[in-house]
Amino acid sequence: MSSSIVHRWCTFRVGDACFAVDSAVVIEVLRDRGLTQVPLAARGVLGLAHLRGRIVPVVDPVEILGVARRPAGPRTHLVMSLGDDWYGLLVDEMLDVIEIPLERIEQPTPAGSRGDVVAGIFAAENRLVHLLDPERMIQVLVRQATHHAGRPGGLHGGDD
Amino acid sequence: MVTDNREFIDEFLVESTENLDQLDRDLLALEAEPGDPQRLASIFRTVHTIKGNSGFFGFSKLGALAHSGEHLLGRLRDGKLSLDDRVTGTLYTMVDAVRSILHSIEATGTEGDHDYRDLGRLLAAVAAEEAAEKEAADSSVAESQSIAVSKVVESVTVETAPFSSEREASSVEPAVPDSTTQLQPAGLAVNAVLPSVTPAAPSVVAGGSLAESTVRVDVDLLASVLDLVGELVLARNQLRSIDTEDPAVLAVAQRINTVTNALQETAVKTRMQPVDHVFSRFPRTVRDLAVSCGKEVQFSVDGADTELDRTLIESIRDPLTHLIRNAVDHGIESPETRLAAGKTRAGRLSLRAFNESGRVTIEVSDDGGGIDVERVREKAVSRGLATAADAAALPAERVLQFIFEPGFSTAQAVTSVSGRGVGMDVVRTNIEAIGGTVEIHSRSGLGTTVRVHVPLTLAIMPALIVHCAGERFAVPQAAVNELLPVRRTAAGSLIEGLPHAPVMRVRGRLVPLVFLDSFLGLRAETACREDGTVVLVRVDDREFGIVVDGTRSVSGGRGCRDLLEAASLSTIVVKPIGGLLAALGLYTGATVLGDGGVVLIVDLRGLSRIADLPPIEKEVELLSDATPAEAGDRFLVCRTRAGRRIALPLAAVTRLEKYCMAEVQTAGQRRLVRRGDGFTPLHDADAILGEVVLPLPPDATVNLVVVRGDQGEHGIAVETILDVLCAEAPPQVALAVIGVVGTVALAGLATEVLDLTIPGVQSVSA
Repeated sequence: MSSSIVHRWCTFRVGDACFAVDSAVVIEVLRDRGLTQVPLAARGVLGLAHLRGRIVPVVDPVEILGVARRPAGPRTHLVMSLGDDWYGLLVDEMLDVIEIPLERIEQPTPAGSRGDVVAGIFAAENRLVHLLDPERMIQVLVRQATHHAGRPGGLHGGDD
Repeated sequence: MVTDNREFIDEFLVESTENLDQLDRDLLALEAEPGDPQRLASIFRTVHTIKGNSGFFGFSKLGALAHSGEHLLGRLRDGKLSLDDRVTGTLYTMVDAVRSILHSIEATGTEGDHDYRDLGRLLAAVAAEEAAEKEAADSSVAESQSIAVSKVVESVTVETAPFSSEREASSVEPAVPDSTTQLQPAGLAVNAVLPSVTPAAPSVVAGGSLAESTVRVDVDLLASVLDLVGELVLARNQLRSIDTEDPAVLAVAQRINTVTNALQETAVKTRMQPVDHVFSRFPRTVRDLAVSCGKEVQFSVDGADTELDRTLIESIRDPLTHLIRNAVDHGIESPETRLAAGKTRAGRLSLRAFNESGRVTIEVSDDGGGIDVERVREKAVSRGLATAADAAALPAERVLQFIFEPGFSTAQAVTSVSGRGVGMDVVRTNIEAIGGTVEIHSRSGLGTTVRVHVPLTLAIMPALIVHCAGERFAVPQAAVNELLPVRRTAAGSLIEGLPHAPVMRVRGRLVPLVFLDSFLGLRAETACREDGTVVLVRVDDREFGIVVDGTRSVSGGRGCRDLLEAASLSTIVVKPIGGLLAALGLYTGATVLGDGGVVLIVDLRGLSRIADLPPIEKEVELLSDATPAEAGDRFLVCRTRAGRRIALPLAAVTRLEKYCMAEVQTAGQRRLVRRGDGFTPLHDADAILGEVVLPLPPDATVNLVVVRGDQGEHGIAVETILDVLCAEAPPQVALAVIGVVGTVALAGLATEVLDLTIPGVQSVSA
């Protein structure tokens, strides 16, 4: 047994690609259920869910991750705790929880990092796992949202 | 075994921090009254306790420092040393040093690398001076003085660095300087002898122990209790909506309702904390700042026992600190300037907190030079915030709002204390983030008042649930004035105006409207123009109507079903929606209704800002069909009880109402009358004019003219309202008549125009 640092990662599929988040941030995995719409929110925001007394905004990561979503099929919300808030991520299919030693994680290419949202890559036996930084993902969405809202008339006459 | 001790160390830190705050207060009080033996004894005890505790934990630096301090205090107590500026300055320095050691312990578990032996020697040196020898200003004393002063200065600039949430241990420790020059912020002269500052009585803190009547409770435990109460409220709501005739069930449901309401009120109170928690540090801050700026400031605190939700208290600390620093640094002039202007040498800075219609208002008020409105106007134009033409047309109140725009500092010099231009917009952002508002009023040459309004609590609030395009939204009930249907009737209540600027006439006022369905993009075009419900809300100085679905649309087109209401009242538990959605500025949170549905809470302020609704001034223009210049020529003519015929400019009048004298309440010096959700101060027109009249019996009615001034709304009580007349010529200014600003010819009669600036309301005397 090596003395290297090993973290557990929850892997899941979005589109054709495989992604993972640190299992430490995962609260729960929920079946796709009715969401309350949030008018004028950024495109990636699907709506609000309600879990154990907390309001959970659910986001769709396809645009940020640059993958094409597979149409239809049952979907899952991966609820994560990020800072003080909980966020849900819409995923196509939950996969295994795997252990990844720190030294096996490779750096993504600048393009592949999608603005630092993909923080690392792990080559598993039969697939490439893109390790996500979910807090960074939310930051990117926040920046989009404020930019969108701040423009005069942006909420109405914007590019949606 | 550091981990075992951690719990005890944490307790030690909490207690010691509280003790240090008390030390600050005691030192300030002692400065005001050097002979007070109780104060001195209290200070001595505090330092002694710190010394003892530090020995227990093995904090040797802290112990040594406390020991030197204790020695100095001992000599004071024994009368062998008298209290002068040098001694107090040194003691303050010791307090700061102790504070920074405590920070270091909190952050790293150790006392840090800083060497406090020089400070220890200074304390010993000061203690060794006999009382009679203090005028022997030998170089070592002068140097230690300037070291003490510069240390105070540096601790001011470092400790209160704006909005630094993380305080690194290293950045707070004062550096013992080799030369004193590097510590002085640009442009400030530090005298060898500390100028005397006359501190006003600081906020009152009872010396008696509260230990027996309070307990310490873990914050997380309290949060759990509140969450559970919230869930109970939801369950109670569900119970209420169940249809049953069973008397046993109804009785129990009623009991549960009563108890839940009481529990909710009590639970919310556990979150409340007096603002003194934040205010208590300010006297020290002001003192240090005044010293470093070379100003003299008389600081008064009022209402420190006003309570506010715990989570909001910390949020106001930084904004208030910034406002206070602004007032001392930029607002209050130097003693020389003040004397030359005929003012008192020491500037007056007052910090006031009070409860007002469901929220807490905090005022920072100075009698300094005020803000030059014209310079702000110019700066706004030069920063591209408004065209020259638009800016010229704006009233002073609106111009001052530009100060809250990012990067907008009109300070002549950027000192290290303030003036970087990052301040006021962050103040507003931080206050608005907790659901509050901030407004600024200023009179050139007379002073500035910044008023911060903060909601009492964010957790649970009454709300109106409305429907819009199949979705539901919550509107805070506190902001709602009334609900009106949109319908064409002979009495009027129709929507007028241009398609992109719809307005509605409400009792003679034109109110701008927002169609919620098209605003939120829920429908391409609003369906509510002919059939909808208008929710009239008031936010800050804006009144507007939000048009949501009417009863017909809600009940699905079956027009005869009036049972289903367009809007329903509900007490909701406010839940945060997370930073991502809060960034939109449209929603302040969300709630879960009794049926489990998630409903967004509309941010009215954000909505009015994004929809770019005009503030109330423009409404007055719309009211009269004349051009703006002529609107100011109309006056409301009244007769006072003393028989004086007076005129009030119609532009300032918002409403006419009638009250029974029994409804007038007294609070301190002021008389108030309850209107809707809030209280409006009441002034007798005769009192303003200096006429003496007998007080009215409780059953008498009074006519109230509600006027809008820069302090908010006031009611002027008159006997009769006579007429609305047009001035035949511009009013002539009258001087030396009490309560009258001029005379105007109305219907052939010279009528006195009442002075609407109410004295005694403007400033708070210390």
